[in-house]
Amino acid sequence: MKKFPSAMLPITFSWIVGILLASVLSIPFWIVIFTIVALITLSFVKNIRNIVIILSFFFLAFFRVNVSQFVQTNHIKNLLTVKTDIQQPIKGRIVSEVNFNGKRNFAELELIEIKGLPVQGKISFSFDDNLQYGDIIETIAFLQKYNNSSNPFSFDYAEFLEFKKIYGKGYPKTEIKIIESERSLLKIGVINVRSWLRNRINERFGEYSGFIRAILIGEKQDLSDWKQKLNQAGLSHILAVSGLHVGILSLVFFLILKIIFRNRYLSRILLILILLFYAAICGWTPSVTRAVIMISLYLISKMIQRKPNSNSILATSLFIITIFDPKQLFSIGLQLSFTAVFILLNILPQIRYIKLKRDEIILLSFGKKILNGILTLMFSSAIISICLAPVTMYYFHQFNLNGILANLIAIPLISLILPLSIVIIILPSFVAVYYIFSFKIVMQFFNFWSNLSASLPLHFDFLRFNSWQFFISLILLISFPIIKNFKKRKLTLTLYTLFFVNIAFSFINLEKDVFKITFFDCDVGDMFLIEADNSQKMLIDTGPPEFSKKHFKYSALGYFQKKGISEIDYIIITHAHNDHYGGLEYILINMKVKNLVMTDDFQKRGIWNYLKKFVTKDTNIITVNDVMNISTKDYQCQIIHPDKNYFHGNINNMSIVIHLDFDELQVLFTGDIEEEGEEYLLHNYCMELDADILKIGHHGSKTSSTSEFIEKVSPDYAFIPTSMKNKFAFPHKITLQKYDFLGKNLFIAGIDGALQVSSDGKSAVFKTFKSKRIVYASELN
Amino acid sequence: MKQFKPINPFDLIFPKICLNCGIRINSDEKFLCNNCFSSLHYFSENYCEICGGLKEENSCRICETNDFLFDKARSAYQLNSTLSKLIHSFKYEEMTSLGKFMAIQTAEFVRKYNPFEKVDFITPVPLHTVKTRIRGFNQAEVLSAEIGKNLNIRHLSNLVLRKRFTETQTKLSRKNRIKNVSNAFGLNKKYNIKRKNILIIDDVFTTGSTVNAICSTLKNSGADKVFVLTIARA
Repeated sequence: MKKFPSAMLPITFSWIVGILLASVLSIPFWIVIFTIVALITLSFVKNIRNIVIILSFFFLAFFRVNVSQFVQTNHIKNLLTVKTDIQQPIKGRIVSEVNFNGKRNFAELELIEIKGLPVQGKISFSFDDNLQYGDIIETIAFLQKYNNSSNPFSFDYAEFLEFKKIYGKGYPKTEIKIIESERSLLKIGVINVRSWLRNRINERFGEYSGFIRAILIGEKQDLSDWKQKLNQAGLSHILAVSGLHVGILSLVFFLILKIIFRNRYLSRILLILILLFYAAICGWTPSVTRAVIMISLYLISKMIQRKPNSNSILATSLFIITIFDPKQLFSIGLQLSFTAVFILLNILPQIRYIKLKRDEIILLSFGKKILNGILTLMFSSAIISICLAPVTMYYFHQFNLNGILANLIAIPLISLILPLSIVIIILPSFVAVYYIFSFKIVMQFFNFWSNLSASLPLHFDFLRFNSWQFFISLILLISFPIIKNFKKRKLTLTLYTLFFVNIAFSFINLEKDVFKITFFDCDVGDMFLIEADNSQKMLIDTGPPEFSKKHFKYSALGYFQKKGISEIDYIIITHAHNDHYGGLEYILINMKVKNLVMTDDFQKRGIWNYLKKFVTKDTNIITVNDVMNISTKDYQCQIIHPDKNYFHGNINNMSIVIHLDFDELQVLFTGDIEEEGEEYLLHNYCMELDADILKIGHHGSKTSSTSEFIEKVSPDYAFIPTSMKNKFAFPHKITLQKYDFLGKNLFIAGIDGALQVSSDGKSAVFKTFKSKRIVYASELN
Repeated sequence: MKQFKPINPFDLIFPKICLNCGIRINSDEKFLCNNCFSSLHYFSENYCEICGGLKEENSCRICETNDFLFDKARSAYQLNSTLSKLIHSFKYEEMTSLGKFMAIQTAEFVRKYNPFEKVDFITPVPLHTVKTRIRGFNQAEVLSAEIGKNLNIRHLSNLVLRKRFTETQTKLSRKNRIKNVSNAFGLNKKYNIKRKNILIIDDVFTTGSTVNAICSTLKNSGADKVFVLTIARA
């Protein structure tokens, strides 16, 4: 082990590899335990002891993952899988701070009993009563599972909460009875200090309180426009409480402690305790935990008077975090945080062709010194953003170089803002007033600077980066500091080039796509994407409005980002209802639209006056006032409704109806047309109605889908874009009965989730994203 | 087969490294690898009998240009890159155990070459209280305490007191150094040093102005002989 700078490096490496493999493979418990015992016995043989120790950490990781995956049969997770809705008398203990989300109070509830039987696991509980942390309550409650994501590549809230060990949600049906209280002093301390800090911040920072809450106590709920702005400016790292923040905090506190106590031992131990408490206040997020553990280890190294090795400290903190929760390894925050520090420690010092040595800097003139400082900082942030690109591109599909310039001013500013805000919080109000004034000036400048940086052009979105690319880049990143020791210039250069080429690949889309139609699940709302061979992308309708849970941002954006679709060739808005044009504003602002297709009727509506503002001059507006054809390289779209002779007072009946032809595959998109529209189509465009797949009209309402129309279309497959529980009672029973003949070939968004049809023109595959069904249609006719 | 030694978890996370070259060192080595440790030699040849500096052609230029008040000054080592790294770690990274280690080496040097006559008291060059609080300790005191313990000499940590705050000597020229420290020291009235031999301890001997100033204070109060012992001679 002498070859490594520290024994923790190989140990952590094998531990992490163990965790990764263990979450893919499952090895029976007894084999793992048997191997560990065998390895411990083998470790008495001196020659192979080192290898055996490293190997045993590999298996210990398996053991740890197996333990964490073990779920008891009476766990709420299991109960909610068997029965999705539970309405029973429950007993539970509130284990988190009670927060108010604007409508109701909510907190984490640790279940104790359901119907008198013992249960385990936590749920998120919302209520109106005045409860506090630690209260043990009894009530009759309605418990429910969180919905898994039903759209391809969209954010999975249920999975996200399961990560936080919350397995469901619930609310009381009857009055809540508080039986007793069971509080841990430490947690009460954390909660009280946090709410004291929150109140103090809200009281003193006014309009900036949301921002200060995010950077001081890690509460990111009220960030609104900051998040987007800083992300575009390449400054999102400022919002994560991490090394910079904890570092400044510990410097301030250590100074105070040093003044109070003569004994350095004591002040260091106190500082570690303060930092741990601070991590608890921030809710143990990976980045703050990492920073706190690393600084604590550094302080410990000072106490035992050893020179610390930064890589060893980094590895140890990763080891400690994953011991407590191996799942954290897969959290984005942890990966970002550790990769960033890894780059800072290992890769940045390696590439310093333009960086001068310390004794060379002393000789420079003052101006050159400043220039050198600026160049070094810019160079460092460029290297960090490039090396972090695999992580940001894989998870956020973004790549940002605006930070190179933005960080120059933003980091000094934030190093001013942080201590200032600490001072403002600590001081009594009559003194703090003076500081608040200077704080506001700094913040205004920061605000100005981030606005400016956000408007720089080097922010790239919608980049495609698949898991293989991600995997290869990470391996390359780790290998860079290792190959340094071989002293082979050619090999080093080759690997670096490989790394950059791998990233550059994401900027050009090389993958060829088969013809695909994706019917997104946006509850009651239409949104269908047609892709063919990479260049022809058509979006029919844009889903429900902003306030809805399945707005474009939450239902389809993930798919667009993952696939690297930032440009849409055609957007067709069928008619002027907000469950059809809801996402248009967002799309027009954030993506490139080549052609926007709508009826002349739509353009008469007030909403168009509003939306018009977001249409840039690159967008060509196509107005439909008669039957027309939109032909692309691979498929033909016939707009068969409304023609120039048709007019109806009901907006629904003015919907654009599209008949799509891709070789043998024919799809009919009927918008929201009702009986009258269907009748008109039957009389006038009878020949164009036949289709293999029918997008059923008006979300399965009984006002459309007449029997004659269905007979004429004679679909083999159909999709209803509606949820199962809504105020319109869509889909109506009568309609469903009419489509009974389709059997399993009827897909409903509320049951099946999104539906994706891939086709080569002769056959098709139907894939659903909630019910996870796959249906093959070997022959289309 | 060797006996199974329990692993010290601190060794895993903070492995012992050589403070000079950075490679990992064995458990029997201390602070330096054997290679770097062997680059340190006691300063036992070619030294000036009075000021302990390097003698050139049988004469000492430093002694000729200065009028040193102490009777004898000696250093255990000549300052080289390894030693200056060690002293830097000791002074500025709070590695007091490293200081003790160097003190033991210095005590061994004294035992081996026995440069001084009978010594009654051993005392460190004082550091101003504010500075002690900033640094956390007085580096000379750590050294003198350990040397005193090793050589069985009574250690008086507060015999000499710093009366006023002086700038750090390291950044000053020789002339300014003397000016800087004159009248900076006073004596603790608690101790009687009449006709006693006193050994002053410091980490590095550069121009000798600090110890010279202390020496004048001591001699004015009736001390018989004053010796100076430092780890390194610049």
